[in-house]
Amino acid sequence: MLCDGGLNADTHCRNTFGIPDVPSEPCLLLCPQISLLTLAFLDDAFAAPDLTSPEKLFRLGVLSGQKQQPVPWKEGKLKTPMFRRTLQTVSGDRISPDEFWTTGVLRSRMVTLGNITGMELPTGAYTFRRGNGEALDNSSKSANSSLVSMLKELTRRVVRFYQ
Amino acid sequence: MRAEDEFELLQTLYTSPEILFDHERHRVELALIIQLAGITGNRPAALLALTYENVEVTVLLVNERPRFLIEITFDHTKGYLGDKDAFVIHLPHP
Repeated sequence: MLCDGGLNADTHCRNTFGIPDVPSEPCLLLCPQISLLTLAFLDDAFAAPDLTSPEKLFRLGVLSGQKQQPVPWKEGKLKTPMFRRTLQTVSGDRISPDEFWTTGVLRSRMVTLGNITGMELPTGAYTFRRGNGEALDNSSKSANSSLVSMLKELTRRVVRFYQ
Repeated sequence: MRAEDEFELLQTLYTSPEILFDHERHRVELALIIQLAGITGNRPAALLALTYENVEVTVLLVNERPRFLIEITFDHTKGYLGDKDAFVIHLPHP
């Protein structure tokens, strides 16, 4: 599926992943939209001054005659990292305004989480990268364990969504 | 790492009293990293480098109700193989 974002196709499409929402998602725990929008509300990142709660977000409309509308960020937030470390201050722990997590911190947290979850092997973000294809192919949650069938299902959903 | 494993990690993250953070924001941040790693398979460094500039939110009108499309562009991926083919993947939720 080609990029139709309207910007320079090469630079905009490179490494760009779209995450539409699915109307009847049975498991919101797996939904990245909820996590991402939560962080945006915590950061007060939306440019619209009255867009301060999820209720207002879901009452957004679209300009007459249009079928879609971008929801822009505040100009001052564009360079702000999504994942920021804590700073220890005299008044307690605060989230840094501009400092990124390190991969070491992520690795440490993933290992701890994996241990407490009861994973047999050490867990890290790289385990998703290595196991991605096999996971799709073999997941018992797919109707058919075949990767081809999974991709067909995903394509069917996306085509239906955009019709 | 299977989809079931991702679910178990997220379930533990949000329900276990043993998972503690200096700041609760990190619980949501870690959830997002796990979710994006599962969908995109990107390297950890590429995920951690995300800023708001890399994220575009669009509201779509579907049957007169708002639905949201979020597009995330990763620009800290390995480039030693040269320019990658330009393509967009639109994935529904797992």
